[in-house]
Amino acid sequence: MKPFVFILALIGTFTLSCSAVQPWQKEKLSLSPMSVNDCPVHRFERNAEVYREGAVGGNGGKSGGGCGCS
Amino acid sequence: MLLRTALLALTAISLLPGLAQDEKWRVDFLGSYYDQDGERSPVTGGIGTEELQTIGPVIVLNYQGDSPWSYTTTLGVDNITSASTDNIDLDAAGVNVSGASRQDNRVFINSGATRKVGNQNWGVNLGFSKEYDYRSISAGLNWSMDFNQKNSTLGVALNRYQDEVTLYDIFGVDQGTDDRETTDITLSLSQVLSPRAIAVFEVFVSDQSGFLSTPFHEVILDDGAITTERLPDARTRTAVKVGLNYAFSNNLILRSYLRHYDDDWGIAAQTLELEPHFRLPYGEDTWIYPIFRFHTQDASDYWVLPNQAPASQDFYTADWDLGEFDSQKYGIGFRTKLASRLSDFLDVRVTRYTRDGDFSSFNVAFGLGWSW
Repeated sequence: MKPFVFILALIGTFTLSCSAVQPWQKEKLSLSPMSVNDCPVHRFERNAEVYREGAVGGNGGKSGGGCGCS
Repeated sequence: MLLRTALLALTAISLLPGLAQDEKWRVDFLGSYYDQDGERSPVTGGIGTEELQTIGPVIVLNYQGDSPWSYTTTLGVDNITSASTDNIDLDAAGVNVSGASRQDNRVFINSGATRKVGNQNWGVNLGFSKEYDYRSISAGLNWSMDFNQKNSTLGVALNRYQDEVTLYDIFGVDQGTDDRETTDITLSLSQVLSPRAIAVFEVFVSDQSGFLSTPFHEVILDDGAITTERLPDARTRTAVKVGLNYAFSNNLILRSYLRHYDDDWGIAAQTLELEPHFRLPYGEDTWIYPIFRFHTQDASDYWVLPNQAPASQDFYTADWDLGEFDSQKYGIGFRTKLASRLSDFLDVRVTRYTRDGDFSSFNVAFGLGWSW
């Protein structure tokens, strides 16, 4: 449980300490590789690997719904 | 019950005041070829072939109407050729009675609707998938909100899976069906840290109950007897992910994340992924990037090697997916915008995955898209 408490504290610290970046400062943030979401092809590829590892979840993978694996 | 809850959520979201948008259609076509091999299949007690190939086309249809609503439907098929599941069907002498490698198809469809309400997005989704021994119905709700001048986005997603497992035992005999329920909750926060950096924090909790074993997975006990895998009927998983995207320049961007996972079956795992993107001087938005992923996990409390578990043990599995291992993934990706009638973009990822114990896989995935 300790890592989760640590991470939550880290999140709070980051959020509270960040000053707002203005729209005219966001040129680099708007480049396509800066997207916080993985591209559909990446998510598609991950579908296979999450079922080859028992540690599924927390990464866009799902933990139910079948998989076509064996 | 699941369907009624989803419809109620859709009705409630539709009553929220919204903002009009321009009408837009988008179709994405994704395809992949996956090939794996190894010698530790749980279908044969952790000592047989894991050879498997999958071809998976997927179509994603997105419609943004002249309203605050947008709709997405994903339709796909996985065609699976598996040598290991073929080994379920052996005769008394251990000879394969079903011929060549087993063919199976998995079909799935997911549909979702999202409504934009000011700086918030409200969404609902329904899903269905079916393969020869597994049927799944799912429903979900999601919500996100931008704040702090769009430098922060808070999100919550709730998904429920109501699954039915057909109980083909280790001899290939149908023993009826059983249920499996899964509830996933994901909390996420993305935060702009500077004009060059954005971070994402994600906390994931999943609760499962019902029949969580795979009925045709074998375990070879310490006396040499072969029996069926036995796992508890409940499992709780938690994971925390911290991602960071950093732009060193307009031509070099690092995408990265670190993930920590824990569950009450005794598995703890860490994953690190790094993808430095290099812009190529062709077109307006063309990138090439190497792919690195490193994963390490501890074994489940119930995981055993062949000929180790006594029959008196409550739970046991020989599935290496639940074992202790390190894995690595290496590859290369390419993405470009296209000014072509053939597609708006081209995305390709080619990766090789290796795991302790001779397991390896090769994957090619690509995407094309059109919008109008």
